[in-house]
Amino acid sequence: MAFLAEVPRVIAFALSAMAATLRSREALADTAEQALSLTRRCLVPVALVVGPVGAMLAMQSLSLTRMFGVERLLAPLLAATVVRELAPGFSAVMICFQAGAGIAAELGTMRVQEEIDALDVMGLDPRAMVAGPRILGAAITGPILNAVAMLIGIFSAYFAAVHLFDMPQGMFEQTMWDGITITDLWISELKAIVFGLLIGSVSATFGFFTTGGPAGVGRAANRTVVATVILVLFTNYLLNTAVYGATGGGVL
Amino acid sequence: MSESAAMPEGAIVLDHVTKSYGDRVILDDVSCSIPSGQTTVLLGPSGTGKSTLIRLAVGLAAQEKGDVIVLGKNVQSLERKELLKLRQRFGMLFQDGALFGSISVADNIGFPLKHVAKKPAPEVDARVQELLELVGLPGVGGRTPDALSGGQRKRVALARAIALEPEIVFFDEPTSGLDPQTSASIDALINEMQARLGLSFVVITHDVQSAGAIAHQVGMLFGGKLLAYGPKDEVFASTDPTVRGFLDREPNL
Amino acid sequence: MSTVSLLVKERLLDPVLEVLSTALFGFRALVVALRFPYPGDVIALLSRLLITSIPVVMAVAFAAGAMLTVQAAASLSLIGGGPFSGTIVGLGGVREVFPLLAAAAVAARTGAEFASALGAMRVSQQIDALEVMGIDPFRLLVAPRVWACVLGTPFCVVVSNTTGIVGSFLVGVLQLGIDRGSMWQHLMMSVHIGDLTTGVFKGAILGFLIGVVATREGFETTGGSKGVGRATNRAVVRSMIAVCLASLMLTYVIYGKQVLG
Repeated sequence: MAFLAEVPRVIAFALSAMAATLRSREALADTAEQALSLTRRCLVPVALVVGPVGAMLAMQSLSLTRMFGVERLLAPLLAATVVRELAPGFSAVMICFQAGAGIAAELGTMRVQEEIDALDVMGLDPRAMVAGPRILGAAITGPILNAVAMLIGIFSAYFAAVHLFDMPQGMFEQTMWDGITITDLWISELKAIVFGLLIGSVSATFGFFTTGGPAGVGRAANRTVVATVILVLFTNYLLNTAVYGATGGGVL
Repeated sequence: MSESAAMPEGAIVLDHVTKSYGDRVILDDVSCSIPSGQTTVLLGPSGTGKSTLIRLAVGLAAQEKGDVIVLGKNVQSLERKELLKLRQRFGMLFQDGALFGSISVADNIGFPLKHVAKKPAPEVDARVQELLELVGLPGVGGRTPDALSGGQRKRVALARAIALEPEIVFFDEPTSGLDPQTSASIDALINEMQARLGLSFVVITHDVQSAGAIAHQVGMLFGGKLLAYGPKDEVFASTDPTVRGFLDREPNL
Repeated sequence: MSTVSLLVKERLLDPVLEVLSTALFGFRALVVALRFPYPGDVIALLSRLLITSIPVVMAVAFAAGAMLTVQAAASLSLIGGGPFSGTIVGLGGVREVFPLLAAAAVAARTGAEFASALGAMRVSQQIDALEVMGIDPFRLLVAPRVWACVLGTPFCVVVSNTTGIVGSFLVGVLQLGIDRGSMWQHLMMSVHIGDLTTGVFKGAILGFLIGVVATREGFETTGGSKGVGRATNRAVVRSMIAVCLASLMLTYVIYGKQVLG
């Protein structure tokens, strides 16, 4: 894959951009602003994907667990799935779709309209001013959206199971924490930070080095989405296998 | 180091510079000395390496052979930090302005004042007003760049380029995409600024009429070679057939 | 205007008007599309849609199938675990998760592309130029794009379902060590042919929504090249909203409480 050849460049660029940003107070303020704007852009898509999927999962799993008379397994199953996989995985994919493409397009436009060159000629460091804040912003956005996704996913599963399909309310609440621990929540958030960093780094690098005019901007945004989605899902798999083992770790 | 050997007179000295992209030679063994305090126009058709020349001078690109010496410094041999410092002595007007689309006109002009010179806000505001008046656009500071016409964008870009009182200002096709009247008004603005500020202006253009209006010195680039270079009247009187062919064609095609 | 009425206008009236005007746009697109699609354009746009969306669809569906399987197997270990994860993926995956992911991928990739292409044509006055020439830009630009989405999204749903099931099967067999035959049987047991045709039907409707929302955002772009970016962004968010809501509603209408059967 052509993308593999770009890995060293992405790493070198992202590290230098982040280092330059951390040294500048203004760039840190921009980082906060970027994090806010990225979060706002992704919030609705994340909620809209995780919500229905959580509810659907609850409905389907309920039919199975009822069949075997083990309804009390439902809540742990749902909680574990949402916290370990669904929330971090899907919120990261939505960040790729929305924020990744957006970052690549923004920086690509700045590149082809010579705005990045203009910064350079002024003697300013465009990596610190435009690239770094977006990378770090994405790393901050990741865990925020993941937290929202966990809440929405579990709540919609709860709503579907209890209010639509008449599962006893107390049972859901009592058994839910059998499936997850506080450590699971922290691991999930940590994963989201890693995904945010990865997405930010790849999309900022692809955007920053855009060539070929306005058509090149579209190309950079497209490449970014494919590369980041695959990268995130692959990393998710590796991290989960490393943390929970090949069999996913017993929930009960 | 050839730095100490640099000619003291030229604001920019090109010494046997060769630059190619892939196997396409863009600049072929170009040498010249661009004097300070004057307007020097590099003239030639599109794709003859004019833009590349500017990019080499400001350190946005690197040549394969030869030296580019700007304000006594060999650009290629500078550390990034020194290069950034050197660039603060330049201003540059990009072809389409390269105004930052997400901030207002006033913030664009104030950008180098705030971020490079780190001036306090009131001082920045005052200077921005002064610059807007200087380029003939008082009162547009609150607009965004997309709300400006082509000519206005160039004026704002010029205001931004001279905000820090640079020693050299580079112009990349200042009249491209403008109607003849607006072009003429930009030419007049360039002349006025040059007379008032006495800076070194380096202009690249394919607009012969504009070159005639603003140049003290003219260089003719053709196919990567510097075919003619010297005072405007001398070059415009050249008998070289290629030079004549370009100059005598209808201006402003 | 008082703050309250301004808030009502911004939060309530404007969104409703936007939805209505999109619906109107969709209706017009439907009428024009039914009359005369340009087959050449449709095929070109359709193949572009498939080329850009399918890699993403496959990656996302494979991963989703795999991760659902691992989690379900771990959680269901009390009732013999393993193979029952196949049942969950077969039911929940094929009916809701895989089609939704496929549509989300099409919305993100092709929706964005359509909006930015039409937006760029709008701000560079190419759409006006067509009108002046007496060519209906609706027929030339909107109809083939809507058709491409209506035809392409169901195909992506099929690919998504297949890849998701394959992902689930491979992870179940290779990583979790579940018996091959039993895993396959549980996967297939819960997938009915009806679910697959329903998925195709659902895909066509979701595709229509994506096509309409994305072309409308592009078509009504204002404000120069910055406006194109804004329109592209909006197209993705709004088509995603439309797709998710429609997907939920369709599932409910089609399956209702029968999911428990």
